[in-house]
Amino acid sequence: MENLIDIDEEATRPQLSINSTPYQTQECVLYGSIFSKHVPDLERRLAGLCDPGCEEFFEHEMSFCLRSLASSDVKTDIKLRRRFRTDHQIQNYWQLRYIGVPEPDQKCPTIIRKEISSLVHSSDMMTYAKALGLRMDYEYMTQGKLWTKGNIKILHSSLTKSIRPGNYDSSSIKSISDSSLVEISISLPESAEYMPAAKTLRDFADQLMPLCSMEKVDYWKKMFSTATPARK
Amino acid sequence: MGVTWVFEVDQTAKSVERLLESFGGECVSTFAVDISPYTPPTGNADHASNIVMHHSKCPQSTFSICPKDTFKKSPKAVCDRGFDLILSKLSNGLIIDTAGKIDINGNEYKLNDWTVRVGTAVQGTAVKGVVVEVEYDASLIVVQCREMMVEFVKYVFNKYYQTQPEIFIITEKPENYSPLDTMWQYLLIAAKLRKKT
Repeated sequence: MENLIDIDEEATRPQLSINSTPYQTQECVLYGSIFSKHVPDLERRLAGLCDPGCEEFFEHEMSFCLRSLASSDVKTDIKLRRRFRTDHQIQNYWQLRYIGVPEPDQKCPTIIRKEISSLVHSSDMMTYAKALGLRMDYEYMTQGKLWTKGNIKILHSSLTKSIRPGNYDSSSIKSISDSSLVEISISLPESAEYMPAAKTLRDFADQLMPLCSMEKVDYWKKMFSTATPARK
Repeated sequence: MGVTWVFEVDQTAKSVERLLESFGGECVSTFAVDISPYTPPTGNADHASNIVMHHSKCPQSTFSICPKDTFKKSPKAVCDRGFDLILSKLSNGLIIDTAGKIDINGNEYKLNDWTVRVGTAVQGTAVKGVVVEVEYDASLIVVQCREMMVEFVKYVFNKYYQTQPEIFIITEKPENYSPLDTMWQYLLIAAKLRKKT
């Protein structure tokens, strides 16, 4: 029932100005991993904790970065995501997503980052992305389930990649590892105070112990430390 | 959005409006179109410019086209307004060319099944011309209403009907008309208006 009321409120909300559009949000995120063979245990735990029902998804995600000569050290990452055809109505729709650099907040128990997303329809997305000056870094497929608990989103998915890029049929898809990725997040308005939400998220994450330990992964630091030797 | 024909006229917006009123047209509201080019910073020519457009008829949509020779060859996309915000993050590769932005503002007339928009194109502070958009609301198939639209323009204006938009001329494999086709016509007109002094 609570959800229903929320939707109504959203409909009566006055039109937002360009600076506070619903497209731009900040999110609190935690990551964890679990062996794929233990995913059924995690699902049972989530079924007990979360809102009833979950959504299955099978998506293709590509990460792009901006190709620019002037400033090669500044990297702008853009993610493109599409859902694999479940019915042909949603073909050619892509989610274009910009993920900002995480806030350097040591006290916050979760990753905080800005996020802008946009739904794009293009008959030839790859050519269009190239025309924008974007170059693909890597791609992968994720298959898993989405659960919700109030405004918390819980995703667990197994990552696969294609051994023949461009082909995404079942014969060319290969698993990346025998673990599943677990991601829990909360989306907040752009300039909202994030600390209470981050604490709620941390508390929720602790309930998944000992099955899965959710961490504030310093993925950006790791990214830079591997990037340096590669540049030599 | 039905099949639409956008063209530039060599008379004032007021006189076009009077003309429409004489045929029974009714001013229903205003409309606005903006066309902003995003160009790569100087010295970086490895990707082309991108034209970002909005139309008040689709207020929550952004149209983006990287113009090539023809519409079919040009990479293009329809996005929600979040795309504008993402573009600002791509400023290393694409910067908005504020001086080249063209705004078209004017009135929208209703004439039975037709919607006619008459607007004045302005670049910065300079008036560049008058643009008319004729839309036949009832059909999405170009071949179905092409002849009738030519007749409509001929009947109302008694000129301009000879230079037809690209989409009217292409006959092989006609696709359903989409708002992007309208925006492509605006894009071409804006490119022409920019060169005009």
